[in-house]
Amino acid sequence: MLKNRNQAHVRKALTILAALAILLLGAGPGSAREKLTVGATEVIHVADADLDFVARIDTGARTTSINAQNIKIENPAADKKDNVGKTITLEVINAKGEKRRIKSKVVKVLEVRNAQGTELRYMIPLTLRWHGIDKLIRVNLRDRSAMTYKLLIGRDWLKGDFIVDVEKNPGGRKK
Amino acid sequence: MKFRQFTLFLALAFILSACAGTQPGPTSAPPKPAPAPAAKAEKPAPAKPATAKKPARKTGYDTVISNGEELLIFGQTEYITILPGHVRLPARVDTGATTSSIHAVNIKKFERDGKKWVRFNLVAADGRKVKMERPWIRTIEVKRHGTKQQVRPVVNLEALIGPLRIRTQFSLTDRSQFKFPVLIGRSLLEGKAVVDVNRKYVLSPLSGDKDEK
Repeated sequence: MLKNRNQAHVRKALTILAALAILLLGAGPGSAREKLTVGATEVIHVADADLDFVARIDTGARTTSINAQNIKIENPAADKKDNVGKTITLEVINAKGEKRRIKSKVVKVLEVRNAQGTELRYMIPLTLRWHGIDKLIRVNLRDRSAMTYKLLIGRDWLKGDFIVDVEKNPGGRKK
Repeated sequence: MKFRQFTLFLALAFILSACAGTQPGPTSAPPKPAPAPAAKAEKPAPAKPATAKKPARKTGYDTVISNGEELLIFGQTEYITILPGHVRLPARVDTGATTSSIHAVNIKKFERDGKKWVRFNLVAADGRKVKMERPWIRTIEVKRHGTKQQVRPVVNLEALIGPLRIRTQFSLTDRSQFKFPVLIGRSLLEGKAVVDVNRKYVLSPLSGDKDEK
């Protein structure tokens, strides 16, 4: 009887161990949840503006950035940082010069540090679609009119879903 | 009693293994010939998933098959070792940059056998300066908002990244204001690696650090 009980305990422990092992092997950090591959450039549809952008996929950028002009804040505060939560209107413009007016809310004021110093940029939520996949992220607004790519896709959009193969869609000016 | 427990165990094991089987990972069993996913054909856009990772036989590093090529997986940051002098530096993997770049000081042009060369110092993590002389291959002109145009020499350097030993172009520049002394650009990645920004320092897991989210 006692022997039987012990065996049962051992079996129970083994069951738990086996279950844990299977779970860990299946869902551990090494497992590849199927990620899609994007190239060095991709056509991204900005759903809120119903506009296509040829975007540079930039793993060096933390946040995604879009070409925006005529940015207006409702009842603006003297300090840009105090405009979080306010209504914002702006135009997004793609490389073809197509523009759409968007009305949104400032969800954050981003401090961008680069070689020239510090710059404050407004962020708004935008839904960026690629091959039918929608991702809603906070995008920072910047005048990118002088730059080749009017949309820069940063790590925030890539995270969790995409890996980057730069051999795909290398875009203009190779090397 | 005993029988019931055993059946339970079998059922549990079966369910769990079935769950694990749906997640293709380096540890999961080789894929069985699955029934053709009929529903997939109806999807509007054929966004192809990257072929599941499998450990590369020679190296033991994670790879993916992209366009029929086996490519390594780099994280958003990786360590790179510049060979003469073994200067090991943290690098940001930057698909937004065409050419890789590296922090260099005391950059001076000189001539050798009628050819343009450049003399410079790399700065190791401990501050040690390593003297280098390389042929000046080409010049990159960097235009940035609100700054005067910058001219940077480009040289070939030999480097180690994980299992790779490569010779590739780097532009030399003062990156002392930046967090990463090295940027790994697209010309280094091409045909060698894909980038998974969810990971960091995957090629040297012992030296990972925890920086920004």
